[in-house]
Amino acid sequence: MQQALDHLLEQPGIWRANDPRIQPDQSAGTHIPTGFRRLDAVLPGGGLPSRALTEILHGQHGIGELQVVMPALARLSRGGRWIALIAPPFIPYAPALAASGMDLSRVLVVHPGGGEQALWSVEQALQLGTCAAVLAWPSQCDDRSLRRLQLAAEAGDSLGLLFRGSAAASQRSPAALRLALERSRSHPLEVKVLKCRGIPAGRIQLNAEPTGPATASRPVALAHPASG
Amino acid sequence: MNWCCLHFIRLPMEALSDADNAPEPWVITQGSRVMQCNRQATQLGIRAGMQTAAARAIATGLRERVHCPRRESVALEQLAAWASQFSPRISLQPPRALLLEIGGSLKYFGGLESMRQRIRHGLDQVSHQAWISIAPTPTAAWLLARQGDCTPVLKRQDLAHRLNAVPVTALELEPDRIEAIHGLGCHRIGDLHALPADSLARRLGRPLLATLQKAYGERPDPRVDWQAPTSFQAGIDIPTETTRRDLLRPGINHLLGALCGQLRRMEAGVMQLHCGLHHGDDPITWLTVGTNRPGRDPQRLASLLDQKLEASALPRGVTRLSIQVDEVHSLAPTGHDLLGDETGDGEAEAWHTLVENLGNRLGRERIQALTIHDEHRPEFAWRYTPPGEAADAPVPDTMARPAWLLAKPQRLTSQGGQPHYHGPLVIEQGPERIETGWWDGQDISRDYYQAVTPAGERLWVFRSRREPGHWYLHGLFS
Repeated sequence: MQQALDHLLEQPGIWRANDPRIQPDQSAGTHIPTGFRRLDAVLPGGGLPSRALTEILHGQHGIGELQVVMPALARLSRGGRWIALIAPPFIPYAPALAASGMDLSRVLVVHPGGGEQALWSVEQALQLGTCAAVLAWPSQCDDRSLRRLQLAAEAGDSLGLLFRGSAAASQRSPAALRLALERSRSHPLEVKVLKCRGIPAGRIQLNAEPTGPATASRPVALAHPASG
Repeated sequence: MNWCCLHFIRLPMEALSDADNAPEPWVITQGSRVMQCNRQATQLGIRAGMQTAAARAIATGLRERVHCPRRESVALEQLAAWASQFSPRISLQPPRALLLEIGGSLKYFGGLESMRQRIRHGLDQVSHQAWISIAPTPTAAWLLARQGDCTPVLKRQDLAHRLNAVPVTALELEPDRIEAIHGLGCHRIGDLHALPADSLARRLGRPLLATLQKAYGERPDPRVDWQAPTSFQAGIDIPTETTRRDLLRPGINHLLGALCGQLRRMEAGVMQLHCGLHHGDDPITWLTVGTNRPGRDPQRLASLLDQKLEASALPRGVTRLSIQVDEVHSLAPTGHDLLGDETGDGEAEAWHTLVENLGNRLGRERIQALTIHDEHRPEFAWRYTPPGEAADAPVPDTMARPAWLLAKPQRLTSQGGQPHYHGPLVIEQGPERIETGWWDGQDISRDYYQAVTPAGERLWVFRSRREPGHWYLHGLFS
């Protein structure tokens, strides 16, 4: 068991916060710009890490959790691979997705009908290499399954986007990037970088205070996407 | 012309799935004698030709089946279907041999040796043993194979020399006739062939003369091509009732091999197949798998069935396996590929694999694509379609639409005319009047607004004009 775990941890897809071997440049890889200039500016590589898991933690549905990734998804949907939505909490509304620039002919919607099935579906979709991005709303997700998904994302060269409740922020996660979204009627959407692989661990402040120093953890108010 | 003969020496035993490799001693009996025995029985000292009673005395717990020519002929047909991956022209040489005309396929398979290896490898996969011989005439190939002479005869001028050396026992004749031939001082086929034709016909009958003449290429040796049936049904008995899935797999692979061989020959594929797990006289457990386009890759079908098999409860032991295909779909032949598997675009392959994997585990109805439908009523302005069939539709020219739609509008509470959802809503945009649908009885008359909750959720809500004061949540701008 321990041996299997060690073997697993040897995988390049596994990031360990205290691993001295991990240097920022090693995990650079390719990145997918979100299209939001101020957000891309604080993300290493200038965007979401491809071939990796990104967690998007948010409170209620409808605060802009899709808005953050929509320009990136629209671009990816026109790159010849697929966008999979797995266990979405509501009906993904085709006219709105199309209006955001998504190529609907490249969208796959999966209703797995159960937590276990959902994780299995996400893993399949990530690892087969046919999806440029896999968006998932898993009802349950432990550390172990997140690691599997991280490996699958790497194997399939796929962008894994997991949408989870804010409460998940206190759980450990092997995801390469963890963003927390906040919004209220009086405040525009804010994005907090909770964890980001590729930035030396010391510079990442987990559960960072919004008013912290000018580091990667500073919240970003979303303006309109950068043109082009 | 080159003919390849596959002589299935152990067909009686092999016609019982995996009995040959079973841990128990098995024999096939004919009359009161052992006709064939499996490896375990051989190790215990049982031999073909032995009295069955003697075999029982040697091995307690001996399993027996009476030789059944029909079971063997069904197995031979299945092997013909399997073998059609190697040649478009196959004929049956009952009871235990197939003849493949391979002159046309040699180039495709990269020469004789490579083709023989492919056939041997294929036989291993479907757990069959055969002597494989190659000769210019079908009858010669068959005689050589029966004798276990596997060195190919490639040149016609070598044929007579090679045939001359084959013992007369290779001819499929009754023992008393073989004895009569031996009585003439003939022990090899060459001795028989050296007799004057008239004398041979008079003493041993015209059919034998004809057989010899066909073998030596002195008389035409026409063969009837085996025709594959157009639907497919095949089955195989499981020698020992079992619930172990690993013991069912060789049988399933065998049946899939036969199916896919036939499909290749027909230039066809399947989109759905049923695999029956028979439990004696109890109801059959059916495993059904589907693919989203016609295919005939046995490994792919095996892996789909395997997923079903793993998921099935297998309540009772399995005594027989069967495969049934009700409909075959023709596949446009691919230019580069004479007989084998299509090697399509890898990207597209992966996509089909994903959709099939998901569909087979979750149910196909749970995998959908999205499309826009030209309709004013928001709930009808989109549709699910089967994956891969959605087109990139033009975007309707409307006001902003929410990324999430509720399956059914949700009635909101309101206080003093102000709708509430996680607190009082503030209207930011609207109204957009949507009023249509009178023709199908599902007419609507609504004023849609964008509204924001105190927590910052942006909602798509409407006020029904039919029910004054009633507010509904219909979507979330996410």
